[in-house]
Amino acid sequence: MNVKERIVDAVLKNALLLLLIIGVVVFALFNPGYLTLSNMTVIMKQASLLGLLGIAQCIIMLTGNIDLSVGATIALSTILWSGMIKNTAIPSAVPMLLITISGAGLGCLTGLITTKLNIPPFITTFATNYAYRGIAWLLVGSTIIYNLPQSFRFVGTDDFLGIPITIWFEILIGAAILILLKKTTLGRRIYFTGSNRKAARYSGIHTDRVIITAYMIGNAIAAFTGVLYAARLNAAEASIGASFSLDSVAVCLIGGCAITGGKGGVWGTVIGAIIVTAIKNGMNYVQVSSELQTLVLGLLIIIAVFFNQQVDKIQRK
Amino acid sequence: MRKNRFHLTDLPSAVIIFIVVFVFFAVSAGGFFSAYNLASILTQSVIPCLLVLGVAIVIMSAGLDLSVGNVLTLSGVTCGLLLKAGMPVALAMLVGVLTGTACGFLNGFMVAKMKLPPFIATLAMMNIASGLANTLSQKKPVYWEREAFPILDTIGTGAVLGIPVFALIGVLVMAVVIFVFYRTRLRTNVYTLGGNEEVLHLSGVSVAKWKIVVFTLSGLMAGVGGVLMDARVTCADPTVGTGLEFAAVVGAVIGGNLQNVGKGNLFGAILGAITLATIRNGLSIMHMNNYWQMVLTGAILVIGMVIRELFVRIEHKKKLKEAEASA
Repeated sequence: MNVKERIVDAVLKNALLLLLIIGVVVFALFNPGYLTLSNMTVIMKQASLLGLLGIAQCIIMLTGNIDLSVGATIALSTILWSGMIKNTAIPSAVPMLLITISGAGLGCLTGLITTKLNIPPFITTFATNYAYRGIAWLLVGSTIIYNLPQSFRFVGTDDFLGIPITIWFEILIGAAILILLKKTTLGRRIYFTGSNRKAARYSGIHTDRVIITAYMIGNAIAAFTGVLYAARLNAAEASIGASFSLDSVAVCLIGGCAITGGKGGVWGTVIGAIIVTAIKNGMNYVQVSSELQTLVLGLLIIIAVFFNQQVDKIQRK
Repeated sequence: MRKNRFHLTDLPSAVIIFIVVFVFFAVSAGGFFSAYNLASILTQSVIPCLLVLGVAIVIMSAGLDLSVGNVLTLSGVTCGLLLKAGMPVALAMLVGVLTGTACGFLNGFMVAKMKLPPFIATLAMMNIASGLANTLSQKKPVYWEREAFPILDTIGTGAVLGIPVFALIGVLVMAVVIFVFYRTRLRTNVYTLGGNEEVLHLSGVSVAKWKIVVFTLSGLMAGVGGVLMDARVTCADPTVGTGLEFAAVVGAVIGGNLQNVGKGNLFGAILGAITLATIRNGLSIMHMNNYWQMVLTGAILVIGMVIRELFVRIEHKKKLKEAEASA
């Protein structure tokens, strides 16, 4: 491999990072306030929650499925969590653990419906999206629960060693999932199921079980993220996170996951989340309206996916 | 054995859901089974039916269109703004319809030429159309001078022989689409696209061209829907189409249209859309609030899918038995 090829290869492999750097430079030129340490911290903090959501979606997408109900899982779990923590006597880890488990339960149900009934996942999760959010509405109606006790809220608001706790969680969970995907049998099975479900089944993998497990892990992470989100917001309501499902899909796609499964990973997803947040934040800085931001997100998805495909094509040659 | 024998699996799950839901509401919801209410269900489902036709054809061709709801909104807003600016009705409506068609064409272009998965291309278009519609309308409903456009009022609120004019137009458009679908090459090509794209390519038909045609048709339907919606609600609301895309996709799927099977059923799709409208109508007559409606709609969809899966298994067992008997 000569020098030129090596450079091309390096550029292609780090295209996402380059995209991020270009974006940051452009926004910094327009508004110097953008490239300050305090603003970068804000971006990283916001990106940590979106990144966690992206990781949740990524595991499911790797198996060749999709979950449009993670937003509803979040709504339901924040409602349950805020109900639980009214009694401040219990240690703060207990409700978080319970919520994470209940998230896994919701994921299990979604996975069972998709695999055992042979329904296309976007239809299943559209229905469960209705159902889960509907349950959240039934529990609290349109009331907003606020003034959550600080003894539970610290996970979303405080710092540890100078870094926000949400970022610590992102690092921890991200590392755990990275190891799960790259170093364990389950991880290999998840990639295999996504790349070629038939071949995976014929080679003796219980693909249904793999997919259900992916849905469980994904929704558990989503539920946990919901707790962090409500803790930061200091409020919980049934309509929370209506756009989260599609946002998480967008993050995965921009981060290089293939919607057909078997391609993508934690790194790309986390960077995808940072890119989306940095661009959204930058657009706020140069005062682009939220409607136009939706439009830009749409264009970004097209460009990113198209670009990822071209990179794939070149690398295969 | 006769070849085209009836199979249970040919029956779209919408048929069963519709019958069950209809009987249930007729028995338990007072006022549901009246000529007035049944007519209003049909009126409410005209625009969803338009969308579902386009989406069903896209799904049959192994595609997916998530953008129809927001494209409908965008077409409506475009038409509304032009009316507000004083453009003649016919021209404004034409531009509205063309806006939808253009969005559909772009979807087709992204799928056929840029090779983006349909889910992604139309998801992006969904964001783009919503962003454009909200920017153009500044997030507020667009009103125009109703007195200046009596024709539009006639379309929206007038009736011929007791049938609303906009419904007549909608049904006419649907009839044309159904006629074209079943009487031209469109059907065979769409089925082949869905069943095996390679076959279409090898038989010398341009795959890209037909994909674009299919998506453009879906955009056209959304455009017509948006303009009719304008006439019906006498303003262009930038939130009017939200959620319609999923209603259309779900309607098409419970109507027996699935990806990659190489067949489909437009009448099933229409029944699917009417079924969803019936569920919504019946639940609101029973004074179920929105929350219950959400939960029950979700549950009913899943139950419909369970029934379909049961049918598939029954058919499978029957086949096995037949094979044993003949062996």
